[in-house]
Amino acid sequence: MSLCDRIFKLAVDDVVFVGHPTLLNADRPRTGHRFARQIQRKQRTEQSNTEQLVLHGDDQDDLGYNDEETIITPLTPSFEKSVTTPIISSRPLPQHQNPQNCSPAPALIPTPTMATHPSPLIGSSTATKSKPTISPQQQPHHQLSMFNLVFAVIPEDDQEGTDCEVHYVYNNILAKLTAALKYEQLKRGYLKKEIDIIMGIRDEFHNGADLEHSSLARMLADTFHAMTNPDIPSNALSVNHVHTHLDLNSSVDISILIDRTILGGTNHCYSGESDGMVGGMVGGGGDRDKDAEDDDGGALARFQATHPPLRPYQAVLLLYHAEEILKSLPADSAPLLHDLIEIVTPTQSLENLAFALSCSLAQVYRLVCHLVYWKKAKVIDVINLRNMYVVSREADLSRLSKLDNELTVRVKDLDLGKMLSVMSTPRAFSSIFKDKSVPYLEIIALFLRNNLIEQCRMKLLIIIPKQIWTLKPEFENYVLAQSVNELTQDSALIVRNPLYCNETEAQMIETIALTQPQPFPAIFQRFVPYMTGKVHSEEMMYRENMVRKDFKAFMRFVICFCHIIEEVNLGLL
Amino acid sequence: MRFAPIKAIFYSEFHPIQGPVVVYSVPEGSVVSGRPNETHKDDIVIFEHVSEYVIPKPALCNRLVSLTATSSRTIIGHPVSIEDAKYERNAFLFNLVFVFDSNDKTQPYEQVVRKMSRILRSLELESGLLSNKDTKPKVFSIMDQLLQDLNTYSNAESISVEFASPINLKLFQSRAPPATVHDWQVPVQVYHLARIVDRLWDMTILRVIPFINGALSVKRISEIADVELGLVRLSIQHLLYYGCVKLVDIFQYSNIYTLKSNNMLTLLENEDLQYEMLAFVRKDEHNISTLFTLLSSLKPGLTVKEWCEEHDVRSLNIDIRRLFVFGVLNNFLYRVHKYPVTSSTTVGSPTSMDLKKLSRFLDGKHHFDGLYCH
Repeated sequence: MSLCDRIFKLAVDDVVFVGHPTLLNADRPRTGHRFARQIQRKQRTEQSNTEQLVLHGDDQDDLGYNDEETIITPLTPSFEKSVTTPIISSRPLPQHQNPQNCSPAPALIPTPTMATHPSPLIGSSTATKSKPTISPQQQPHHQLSMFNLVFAVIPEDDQEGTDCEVHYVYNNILAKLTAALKYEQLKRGYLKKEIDIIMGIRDEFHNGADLEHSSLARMLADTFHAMTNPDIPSNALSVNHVHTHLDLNSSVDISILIDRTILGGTNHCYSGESDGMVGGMVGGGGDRDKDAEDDDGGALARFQATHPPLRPYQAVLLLYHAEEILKSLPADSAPLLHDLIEIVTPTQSLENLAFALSCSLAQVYRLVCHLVYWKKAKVIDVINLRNMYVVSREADLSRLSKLDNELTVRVKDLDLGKMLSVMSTPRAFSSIFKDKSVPYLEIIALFLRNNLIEQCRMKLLIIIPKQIWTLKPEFENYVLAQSVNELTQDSALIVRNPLYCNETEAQMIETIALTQPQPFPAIFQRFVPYMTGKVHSEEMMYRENMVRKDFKAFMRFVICFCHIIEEVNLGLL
Repeated sequence: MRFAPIKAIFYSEFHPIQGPVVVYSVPEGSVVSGRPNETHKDDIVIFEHVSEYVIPKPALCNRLVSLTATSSRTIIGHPVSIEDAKYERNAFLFNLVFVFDSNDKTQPYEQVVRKMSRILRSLELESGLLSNKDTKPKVFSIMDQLLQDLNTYSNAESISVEFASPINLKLFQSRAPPATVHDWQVPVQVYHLARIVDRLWDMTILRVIPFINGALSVKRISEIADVELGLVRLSIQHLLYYGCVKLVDIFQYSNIYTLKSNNMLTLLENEDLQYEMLAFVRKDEHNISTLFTLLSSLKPGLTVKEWCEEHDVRSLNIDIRRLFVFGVLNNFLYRVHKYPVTSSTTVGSPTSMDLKKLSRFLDGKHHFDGLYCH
């Protein structure tokens, strides 16, 4: 009892058992059992008025769902696998756990909690509308009081990897399934019914029983197969993320995003076909083994790098065809999400998207986050011919032959290998395609969607060259004092952070501004706070409300006073 | 490295009449039976909640058992069952359990827990230390010393036990398995290995170390040192595991390097790193802004040779190889590899055997450095 309703992690040698022992009775306050208390209160009311009780049909709830309906997916569950085995265990009701003693509770929110993650793309369609139906299985004498869905995991990694894997399984899969099972048990007695079926089959056929007749067993087997050996759709862009739907009692549809990088077993890779001689020479990413080793930024830094804040000037690139995404949405998904998927293009900024949808930017952000979380879209900068792109460090070049075929279908006489070879050096797309008839937008979108290229961005730092710091003796003294023991007379001074610079540095920056032709002195001063090497040009233009053409003109004049660091934009997927 | 502190250690055994009981605990009161004091509720292990995993059923005995189920504590034990007719129920069950904070990394302690259970088991088998009422209090002094020594010094040396050898324990940092060492990679010494090496080290490592100079590749070291290539790889991997060397690519003027911009800013802010870099690369006096300006002009597609010519780097009299090695080791530069791939528009097929053999590497997974070694 005391270990219930919280994570339960037991490691025996190399096997970690993780579960969430769940009480179905609601005799304790502050345990998140409002829904259970509501059901029990109704039960008591119904029991006191048994004669007047009007039961709905056992086989059908008030939403029209058939409780006995089974999923038409022939699948033989296999619980003997050793890697990750879902096990259901139940315990008898303790003597002191009589539901009759439950205290009355407020009748609120009959919605199952889906952990702390964004609501699933395919959500429960029964959540708020349904009225709990009392079935014979829910009579107190036959009621299940406790259940625990347990996953057995054999992690392959060190402890950090083990903890990560176990918590991922718990938060993303187990907690969701447990919440859904609890809901279905309380509402329809589903779990009890299924356990009776399973026990019946076991009794009849002993251990070699085929559990296909139990929808619960099938669902657990589906979960197991999805986690250990997910079917990679042919059009999947990432073999590491698989989106799976689990149908529980034809009532709750649970969406699970399985991240194979966390669950281990990332050895799957696309087979690259060698058909012919050496074609293109592609400057790919850095040494991947070494990069993985060197990437010591920590989990938080990695999270920040892959999940930067959304900005109004950014755009959304759908990773699948819009119709395909719309088809996978649940019936009760937000109409605004439908509208967004229908109209979104990678050339349209989020700000314009909000305007087109007549909604707030915050609403658009929320929908975009939702799509990104479920790996249906990625956030990019608005696609423009003048954007600088370069072959991505993470590009999976083994997929080139497959993508080459895809590209040839869309654009004839275009060699993907040669294109990427050209793009190994950062350059604007307009300089690659002189021919305006080429559907460049489609090509960039294809490249970005497949993580073949990424955008280069410009960041600025102020340098104070010799001709400025030799103008005044105090400037010279200051620069020389900064360069003790490492002095060269012709070196420049880099201003590390103009926001917190001292008086002399500020004067030197002002002097630089004054050397610019009109109207640039004022513009230079406006941009000084952003020249920290951390703010990229798109952000500067947005914050200062400047169009690209004016910014370029400005850059032409101040170029000799700025360090330009070209940064490859990390993918946001 | 600091290890997670042990919050408590308790010794539990199966009493023939009372069942599982806590016999000793340090600090005292850290494990209680019944209701805990309200003020320290979260820090106390309530024995009844976890007793079935402390003195478990036979299936879990003689295995490492770790449980995280209470709000703030993880317990790790290795329950031991000794079957013998001399005991009241024909078996003696005990467990020395270590308690940690639930968020702590407990892996370094697993070997300690296993070893302690092994030691206590042998002490019981040899001298009946645990089952004898007179000698049992010795367990408490062992636990007390363990808690203090492991938390303070990360090791426990010479804990004396009557009639037995002293107990020696040490916590070891768990390291990730080292990366695969390829023939084309160049090991660079992170520490001055010649100063710390002694004659008791592995003979192959002793032979390899003089050639780890940041310029010779693994394959070349094997040739010069006259050591079998596989053994050189193993030696380097061993040194890599302990952080004595790091691996970089062979430096060539045809290499392409580019920036990791965020880490470049770290270089700008970190004065120690700047001095280290200047000391490592300069032959003449230079200041950091010169090198920073030079480095920030690197970009994908620009080879080192082109970069040198474009900026007249040779006139600065700096060690260019060292500059790139330093940049890669300190993670503000990375090497851009070239990956040859086949193309659908390529006409013809490979004719010679060499080209046929080569074509299987043109799948986008093998870069040129790797191809040269195949």
